[in-house]
Amino acid sequence: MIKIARVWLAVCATAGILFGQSPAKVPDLSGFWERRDDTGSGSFGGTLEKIPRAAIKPEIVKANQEAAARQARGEVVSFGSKWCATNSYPFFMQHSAAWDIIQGQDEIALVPEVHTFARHIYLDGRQHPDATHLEPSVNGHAVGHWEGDTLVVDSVGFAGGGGTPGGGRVTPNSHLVERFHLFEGGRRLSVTFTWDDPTVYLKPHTYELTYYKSEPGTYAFEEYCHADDPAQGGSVVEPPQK
Amino acid sequence: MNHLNNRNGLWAALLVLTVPVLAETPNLSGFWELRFDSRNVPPAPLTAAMAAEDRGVQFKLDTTATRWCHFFGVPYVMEGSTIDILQNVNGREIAITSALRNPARHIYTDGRGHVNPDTFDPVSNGHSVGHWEGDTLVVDTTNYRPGLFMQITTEKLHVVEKYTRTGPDSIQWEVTIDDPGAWTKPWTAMIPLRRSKDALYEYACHEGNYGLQGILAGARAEEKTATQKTSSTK
Repeated sequence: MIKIARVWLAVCATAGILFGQSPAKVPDLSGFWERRDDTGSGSFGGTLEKIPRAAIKPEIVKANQEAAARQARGEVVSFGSKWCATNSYPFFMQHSAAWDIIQGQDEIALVPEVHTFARHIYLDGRQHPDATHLEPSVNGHAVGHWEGDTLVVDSVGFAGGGGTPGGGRVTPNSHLVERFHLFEGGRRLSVTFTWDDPTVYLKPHTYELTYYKSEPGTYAFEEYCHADDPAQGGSVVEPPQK
Repeated sequence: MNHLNNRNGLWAALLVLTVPVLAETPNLSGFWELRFDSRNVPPAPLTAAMAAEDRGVQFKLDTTATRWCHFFGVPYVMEGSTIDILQNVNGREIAITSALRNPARHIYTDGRGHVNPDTFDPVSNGHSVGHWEGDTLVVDTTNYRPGLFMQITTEKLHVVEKYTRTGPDSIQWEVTIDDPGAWTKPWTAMIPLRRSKDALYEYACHEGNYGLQGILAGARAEEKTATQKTSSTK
């Protein structure tokens, strides 16, 4: 009896390889994931308040303070929403809208509803392009591998212009390492972010965000941002020009 | 569990447990692109009402959509750049992403039906469900936002796609498009997709994009000319 089972397992393993099944079993991260207000803060912005403050360089602190002062005076510090500029990573990971993980064998895609591109994480063993061939992008260039039950993703090549929870910034020099790990029987997902950037941080900035698996049958919406929509244009109000 | 105590029962149980492995569907995952031989698509017959529409107005609407980076939806998103087809290993969903400024497509293959149109906001990609017929993935899409395809489609647009692997580096993509508000009858295109060695870049469509600056400069020049003509005729 045991011999039959062994033979069958060998047949299955061979068939699995021939038909493209991954010989190594890894967790299934796929599906829609969403954030919830676990802290009772009352807002999604508030859910980020417990993220530790990043240790950032004095010149960045000064620049942030100057921008805050300009904003307090009624000046516009960003026209991004008015012109529907694509949101930089990791914005959609902090957003209230769910995002979808599609898990292939050689690639994982993170597909958000918010106004930005899908994020492609390559698991086929490739490396990052060298600096001369690295095209900056809002999501960066991401490669991943499995360390036991944890998906480890290494990203470079960000276009920059966005920020991180805790007061950090994303620049073309940023290097991000993320660790994706299921817990509570696969109903929740932990993502630990570690940002490093010699032009921004005094030391690497690490924080964790957690997500809940959306209900089965969940489907995606599209965020439709029109720069010619008067309401969208009205998202930024310029002060009177002197 | 007595049946496991005899040899035939064990074989049967092992067979049931392993059928999903052997019955695996073809793998469409990868980067794909259209080649020079992919665009031999005959013109589709427009309805009389649509044919009577002012083409100049249509062109202007389309230029506006381009200028303001509107989403174009399916099938434009399939043919305008390299696409990435990513098939979930659990078989429940397939995503198609494009380098164009358009949301990724979600194709649900978990057996669900279409959403209730009364409770679903139409979107540029529509709502797609798929199933396998032998080695062919059949995708059915409804609930489109009106105004796709050069601004001519309506909420009645219904698209059926068939994806068949024809070789290690090729997929036959057959798409049947039906919209009684735009065309007199359904029309079908059969388009070969070739495996791409290109990367998928992000398409930055916004003010500050040099191409868009050119489009806007051209539009402003047209407006200026029109204003001057109006002034000279007064």
